[in-house]
Amino acid sequence: MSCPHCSPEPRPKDAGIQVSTLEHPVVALVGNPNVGKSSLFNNATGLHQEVRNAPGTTVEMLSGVWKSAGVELFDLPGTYSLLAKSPDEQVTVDALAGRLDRQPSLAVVLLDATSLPRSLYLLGQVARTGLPVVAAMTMCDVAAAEGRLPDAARLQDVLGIPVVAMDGRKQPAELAVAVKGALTGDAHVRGVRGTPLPADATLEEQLADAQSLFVWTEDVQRQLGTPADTHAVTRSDRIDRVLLHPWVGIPVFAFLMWALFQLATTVAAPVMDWAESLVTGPVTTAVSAILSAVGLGGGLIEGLLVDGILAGVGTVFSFAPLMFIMFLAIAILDDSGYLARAAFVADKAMRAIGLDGRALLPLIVGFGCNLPALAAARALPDARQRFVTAIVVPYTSCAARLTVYILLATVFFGPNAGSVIFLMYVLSILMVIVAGLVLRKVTGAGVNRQPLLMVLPAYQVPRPLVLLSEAGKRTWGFMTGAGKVIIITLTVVWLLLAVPVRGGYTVGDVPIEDSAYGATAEAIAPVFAPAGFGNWQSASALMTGFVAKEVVVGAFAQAYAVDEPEDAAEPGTLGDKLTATFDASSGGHAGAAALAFMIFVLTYTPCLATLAEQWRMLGPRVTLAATGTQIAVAWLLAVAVFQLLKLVW
Amino acid sequence: MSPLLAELAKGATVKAAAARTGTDPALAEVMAQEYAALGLLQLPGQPQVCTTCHANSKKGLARLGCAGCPFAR
Repeated sequence: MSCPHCSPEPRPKDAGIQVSTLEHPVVALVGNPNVGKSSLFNNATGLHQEVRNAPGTTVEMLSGVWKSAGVELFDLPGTYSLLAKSPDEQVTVDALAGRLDRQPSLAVVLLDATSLPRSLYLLGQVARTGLPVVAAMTMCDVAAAEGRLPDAARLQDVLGIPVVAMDGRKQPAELAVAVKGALTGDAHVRGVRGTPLPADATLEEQLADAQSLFVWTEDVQRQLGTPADTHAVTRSDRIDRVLLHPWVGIPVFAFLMWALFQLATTVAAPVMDWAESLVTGPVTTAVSAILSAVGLGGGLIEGLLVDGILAGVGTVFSFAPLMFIMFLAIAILDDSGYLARAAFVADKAMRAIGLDGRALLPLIVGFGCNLPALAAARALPDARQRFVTAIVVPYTSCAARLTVYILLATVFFGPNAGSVIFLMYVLSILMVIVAGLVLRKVTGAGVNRQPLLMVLPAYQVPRPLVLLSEAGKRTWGFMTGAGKVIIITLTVVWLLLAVPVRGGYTVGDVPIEDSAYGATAEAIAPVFAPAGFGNWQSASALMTGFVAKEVVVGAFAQAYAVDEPEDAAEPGTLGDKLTATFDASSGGHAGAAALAFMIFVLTYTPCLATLAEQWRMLGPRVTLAATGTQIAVAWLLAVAVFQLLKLVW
Repeated sequence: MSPLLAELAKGATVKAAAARTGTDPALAEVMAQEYAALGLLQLPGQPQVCTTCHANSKKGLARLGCAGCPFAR
C-alpha cells in the first residue's frame, strides 16, 4: 500500500477512453461501500450492463442504460470520501470530474439511513464538485427497525434536492422520476458551494474545505433533529483515565519498560545460553565426529568449521530467542493498544531531542540489548525517526557492556565501583540526548515540529496466533539477514586468530599474541596511547568487543593467559595484571586510563550483530559513516577524559 | 485546530473524543479519516506510511504530516 499521505495521481483528462457512443446523459452512482449501490444499479439497469476496467487501472467499472430514467448509469467504486486514498477511490474522483469518460450530468448519491452523517459528508463533497445531485436513501428497513429512520421529506427540505427513500427489492421508479426531473431542473445542495477546490489548493485550503463540510453535516443533522448517537463510557475510556493520568501513567509506563528490560536480560539469558549450547554442544560434537571419520579431524578444516562458522551460527542462534521474545513482547504491547499510550506519555520528553514518543521504547530496550532495540526501531512509522533512533540506539548501554564496567570498576575504583558504574549509565543517557540533538540539526531544520497526533486504538486482548506468527517471521528475517553478516565476520576473526605471524607456529595452533589478530592489536595499540590504554591486550579486547561485548572480559583473560573470572566482581589474578598493564601504559594514571577505556567501550560500536542490523536498516553507506563517526567520537571522548583526569588524578 | 482534533491530540480514541466534543461518533470517524488522509494524524493500524512513499517525486501532493520528512522536500 502506498503512503496515505500522498494521494494517487489524478489522471489527465485525455487518459480516458470513449467507450460510450450513447446519446443518453451520464449519471454517476456514488456511495459508501456496502450501502446497496450494486442492488440499485442492477435493479435500474437490468441486463443492460457493461463491465470494463477504468482506464489505466485494474479497477472495474460498471455502466448500463437505465431506460426508465433515460440515462447511462455509471456504478462507481464505493468510497467514504473524495479525498482519495486508494486507486478505487481515485477512479470515483476522476469519473466525477469527467476524466475517465464523458462528464456526468448528475450524481445519484446513496445515503445510508443507519449512518447518515458519514453519507452526508460524501454528499457534501459530491455537491462541492458542482454536479446536480439526487439522494437515494438506502438501508431504510434497518434504520426503521432501530427506530432512527430519518424523515426523507424533511431531509429533502433541508438539502434542497430530491431525496428518495429506497426499497432495495423494488424497481427504483420513484428515483427514475427524480433523476429525470433533476436533469432539467436545479438540483444543487443547499448550503454547499458548488465550486471545487483548484487542483493546486494548499493543504490549509483543503483542511478548511473539509472543515466547512463537517460543519455543514452537523448543521443538516441539527435541522433534521436527529439525536446524535449517545456515547457510553467504554472500557478503553475507563482504562485511559488511569493510564493517561501523569501521576499513574508514567509509573505504569516505567514498570512496563523495566519488565521489558528484564525480558531482554534476565529472562532471555538462560534461553540464549541453551540455544547457543545446542550448536556448540551436540551439533559441534557431531560435526567433529563426522570430520574425524572422514580423516579431516583436528586440522584447519575442523577449526574453520567448528571455531569459525559454527561459532557464528551459535551466536546467531543465541540471539534468536532474545529477538523472538522481544518481538513478541513489543507486538503484545502494540496489539493490546498500550504502545500508543506509552508513546503519548513519552512524547513531550522525546520531542526535546527531535524524536517522538514512539522512539522511547527502542531506547529503553537498548539498555537490555541494542539488537532488539533496533528491531523495535524498525516499527517506527516515520523514516527520519527510524534513522535517528537507529543511530542513537548504540549509545544505550547494553547489559553486555556492564560486565566490562564491573571488572574495571572493581579493579580500579574499589569501594566506589558502584558509583562509577552508575556514572556510565548517566553518561549513556547523555550520549543519547547529545546524539539526538546533533542528528536533529544534521537531518534538517524544523524536524518534528508536528506534535505526535495519533488516534488511540481501543484496548483489546492480544491475538496470540497472529502475534506468534509475526514474531516468528521477524525473527527469521533477523536470522537470515543480520545472521549472514555475523557468521561471515566471525569466520574472518577466527582466520585472523588461526594464522601465525611469528614464532614458527602452525595454522590453527598459535597463541593470540603471535597470531595475525594479536599482531593487528599490537599495531593499533599506539592509537590508544593518548587515552592511556595503548597496550596490545586492551586493543585486542576492544577488537573482540567489536564482535560482542560479552567476550571483552574473556579476551582480557585470554591475552593475559589467565582463567576468565567466574564473577567479574572478583577479578583475582586478572585484576593484578590489568592494574600493572594500565599503570604502565598510562604513565601511572591507571584509574584515569581505566575510566577512559570504559567510556570507549560505552561509545564505540556495540557489537557486530548490531552493526549487521544497522546495515540491514540503513544500508552500507550510512552504517559505515555512522560506525566511523562513532569510533572517532569514542576515541575523542576517551582521550579527553584521560588527558583531563591525568591533570588532577 | 478543530475541537475534535484538539481532543485527539490530548490522547483519546475517536469515540472518546467525539463524546467530549459532542460530535456524532459516525461523523467523528469520518473526520478522523479525513485528518489522517491530510496527514494530520495517524490512525491505529495505519500502514507504515513511509516505506513506499514517493513524496519526493510528487512534491505537489505532499501532505502536512510530511512536513518533517526529508524525502518530502
